[in-house]
Amino acid sequence: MSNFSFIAETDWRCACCNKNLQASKVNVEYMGSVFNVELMVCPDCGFVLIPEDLALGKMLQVEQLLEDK
Amino acid sequence: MDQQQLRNFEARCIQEEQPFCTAACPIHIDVRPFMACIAKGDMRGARRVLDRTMPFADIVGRICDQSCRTACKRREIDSPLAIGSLERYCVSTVPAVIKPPKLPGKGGSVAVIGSGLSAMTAALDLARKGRNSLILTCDEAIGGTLRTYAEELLPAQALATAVETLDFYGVSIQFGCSLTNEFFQTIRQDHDAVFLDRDCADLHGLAVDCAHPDPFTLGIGREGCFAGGGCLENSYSVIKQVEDGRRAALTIERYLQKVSLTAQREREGACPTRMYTVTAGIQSQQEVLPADQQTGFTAAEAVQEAARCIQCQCMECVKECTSLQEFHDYPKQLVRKIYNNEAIVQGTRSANRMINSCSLCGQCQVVCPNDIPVADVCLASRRNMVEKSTMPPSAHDFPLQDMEFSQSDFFAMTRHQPGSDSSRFLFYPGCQLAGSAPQAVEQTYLHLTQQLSGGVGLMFGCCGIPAHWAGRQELFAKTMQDFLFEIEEMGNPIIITACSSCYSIFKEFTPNLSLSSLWQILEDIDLPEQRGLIPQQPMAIYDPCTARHEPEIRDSVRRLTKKLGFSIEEHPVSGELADCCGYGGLMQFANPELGGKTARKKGQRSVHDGLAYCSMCRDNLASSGKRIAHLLDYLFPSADPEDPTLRRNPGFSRRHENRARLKQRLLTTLWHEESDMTPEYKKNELFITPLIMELLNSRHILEDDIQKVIFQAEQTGRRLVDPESGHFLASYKPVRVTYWVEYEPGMQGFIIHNAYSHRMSLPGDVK
Amino acid sequence: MSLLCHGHTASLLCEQKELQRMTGDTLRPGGLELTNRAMQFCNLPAHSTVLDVGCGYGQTMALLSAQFGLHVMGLDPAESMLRKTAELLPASLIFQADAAAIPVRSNFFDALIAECVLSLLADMQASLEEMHRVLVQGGRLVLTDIYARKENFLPGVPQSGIHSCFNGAVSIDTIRECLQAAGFTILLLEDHTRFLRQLAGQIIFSFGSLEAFWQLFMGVDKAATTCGSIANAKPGYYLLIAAKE
Repeated sequence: MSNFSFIAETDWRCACCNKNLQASKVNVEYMGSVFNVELMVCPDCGFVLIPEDLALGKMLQVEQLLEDK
Repeated sequence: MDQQQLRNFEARCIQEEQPFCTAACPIHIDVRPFMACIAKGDMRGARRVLDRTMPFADIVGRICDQSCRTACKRREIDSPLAIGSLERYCVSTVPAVIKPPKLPGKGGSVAVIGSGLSAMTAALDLARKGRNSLILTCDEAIGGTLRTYAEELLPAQALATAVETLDFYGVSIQFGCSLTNEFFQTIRQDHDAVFLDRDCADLHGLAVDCAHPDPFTLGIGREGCFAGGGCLENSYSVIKQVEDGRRAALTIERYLQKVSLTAQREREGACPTRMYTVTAGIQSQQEVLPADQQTGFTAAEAVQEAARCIQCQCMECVKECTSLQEFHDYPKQLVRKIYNNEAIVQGTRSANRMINSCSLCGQCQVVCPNDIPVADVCLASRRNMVEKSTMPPSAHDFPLQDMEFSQSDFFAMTRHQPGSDSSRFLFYPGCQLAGSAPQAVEQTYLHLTQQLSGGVGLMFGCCGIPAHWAGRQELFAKTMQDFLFEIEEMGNPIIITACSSCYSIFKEFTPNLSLSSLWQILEDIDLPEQRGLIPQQPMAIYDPCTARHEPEIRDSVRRLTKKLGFSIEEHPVSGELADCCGYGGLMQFANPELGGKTARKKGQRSVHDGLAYCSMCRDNLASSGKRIAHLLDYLFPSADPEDPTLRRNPGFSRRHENRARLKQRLLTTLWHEESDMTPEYKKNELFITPLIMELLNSRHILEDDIQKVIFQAEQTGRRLVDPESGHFLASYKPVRVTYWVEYEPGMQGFIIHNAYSHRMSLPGDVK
Repeated sequence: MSLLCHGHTASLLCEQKELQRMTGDTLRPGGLELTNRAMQFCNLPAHSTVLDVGCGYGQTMALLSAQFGLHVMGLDPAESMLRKTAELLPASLIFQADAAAIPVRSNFFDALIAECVLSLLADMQASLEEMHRVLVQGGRLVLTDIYARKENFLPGVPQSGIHSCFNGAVSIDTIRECLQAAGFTILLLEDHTRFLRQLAGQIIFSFGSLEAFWQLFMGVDKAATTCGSIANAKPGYYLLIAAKE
């Protein structure tokens, strides 16, 4: 099985709930396609962390894949 | 684009036309790859090229009378390629590489009378097509006139190889026939068609007139009988023998298939070509002659001579255009891709990126020998994409938002000259100049009001060219409509544009308005007294692509620079050939890397410092590392003593800011109107280092977006915190893009540490 | 032995558990959404007899039977899969056979459905002719599959140890010609590359990259070559419905 994961220990904590983030499955959506991704999320309020490398890396790659840009 | 338009555009692109040599060759040998192979020492590859088209290459390759040579384009530079000698070298040193396939037998039998080269060619071609072909000759060996060639010129072995070839394809040969009328009658009855090779002495005895075959079909007016080859006016042309043999075989094949003998045969034999190849600028290189005339070329000499081939093609447009280069296209391929792209009802449109990467600048059309309007095709396709909702959302979002900002109350305004209620003129500086050099706009306006009588109004806004370029017809039409309404309200003044993009838009879409460029006006009035220091060293004028069809504006600019005392060095890619800076067609937003490449290329057209009169050219070239100033930098210098060729590109956020502040300042100082348009979220002070600012610009993130993220995070408390550093991380999605900002509260505002964005939606997106 | 991808030397991509994990048990882009779309278009009367060519684990069969009331049979050359299929659909007739030799008499089925199967067949033309044989006059053939969107693409370039529909992807024109040659008339042809992209996107999110995904089945170099070959073919996904003339 894949040993790949976006989950990484992070120093970011939810400032609102004062909680550490935890790994959780999240559905992200773009142009009608939904993807299931494991991300770091605040267990109380559900704030999802999209780290810079994900936003500018894999996420951008998939956005462009779907866009025909 | 419908199929008719596609065919029309395709036909106008001549890149796929035959090169001059191939067109002149009666059997269209593909000379370009032949030369390319020899030049890189691939002699087998060269032989393969010949084997594909040339019958009996061991013979024809040695002695062809090379009617192609006079057509060689190289003669315009020095001397034509030694095509014949190179073919001779090739077939003398490399045996046949490929044997063209023989099609399965399909019946029909053809008698070939005579055994000269045209008889051999006809028999071979027909046998390859799967027809039974039989050579009948009064001689004891094949070849006809070929047999008279000296051994050094045409070795007997070459003819022996030809016999083997004929045998391989199943052509049988009857030697020693006696060609009587009776014999001919029998032959005619026993076969479906007959070809008579006139390179045969005994034909004269026949009661058949072979002297005047139809030049097109080689028919001689007798059912199923055709004739060709032989000596004409006492001269024997090898390639003419081959041509006739091949033509006869094609006619007979049509005859056997009972189809038209004449339809669509224009391309057979030597034919004209529309190929267009510019030889100017190609270095002269004398023809390589073999050191030993007897033995001909050595390998090294052949390589050297073949390397002189300039591989004739057109590519005039591609040579200059970064976008066509990027997608490895010439217009014929481009229009086909666009057509295919539009035909996809649902699915991936792989040409979108290419279509959106065109700067729509029209340079290609100017250099094209057939004026193919690539920009029009790309723009029409963008409109089509917008209509069908297939335009990628991220392609033009950013510039359209920029346009929306410029048309909003933050920047847009229209006023008569202070103290006046009518305007003879209306200064329209455009959004980009106001964003890039607001102080120059202000001074220019003041100067115009002092110099021109009858009232000079001022109008801020965006002419709508981003919407036009993005294919957003509705949005663009609305912009034009609003603009016309405003102009009418102002009493139809003469519009003075500073930006040639605005000029081009108004000229094309509001043709009834009075329009003038700032440069034409400035030329006719007094120059401002406080001018900047004009450099001693020469500067190169950088015409914008949108002034391509405006020679009057370009001339005004040049006269103005002369009046100001500039020393101008023209570079060759200016005027109506000018490149785009990367902004045109919104290229730099749909394809940022290509935009950068395009700006660099434009900058490198001259070694001298640049002088631009379009602010996008100025800023994009400055970003690319070019030392370049705007003409207004010298007419209306800023208080900052910095060399204007070193002025930085202000970037997108600063342009917004500059526009908004310019409007507020002028409203306060000139019209004494108090206004505070600053929305709540913008009141936080931001501290952004130049490094982070550069990052924001490259990521198309505005300070405005950052303000929104922080405002929202601070209001709701929804944000992450790093307890170690005390930094916060928050996100916000104003419209389609989610922005993330890492920031730190400071004494007077917020210190920005990082920002990035994505388009994918998360659950519970805050909008 | 055409549907079976030379099992002793190579393994079939859709038999890999990594792919199952992402597509559910349907083993193909679009899952049952496309099956639904196709069945709505065909509008077959209840109790029509339908053969699922390459039925895999029987997900489509279950849908056709439960949602559309059809009498469904399945065919697949892979014994390992059929065992699970039989568990899911104990009452259905399931053949272990090859698409080029369907073990039923001529003019038998009202419809055939072959989802992401055609490109796996060793002899596509022969298999289409066989499908034509077993369909009744006017019977429907439903195909969904990968195709090569790049014009003039020559299939068979990627040579990897694993056999997937990417190896056999041909252009739509080729598919069209083969169908016509076999005696079919095309009623519907739609591009659904979106589903392929969705799968590719999910692969990126689940494995980090397409290359990382292929590396599960082959070496690093081969994975890179395979990615390159696939990108070169510009794969698309189509739904096609044809009728026996």
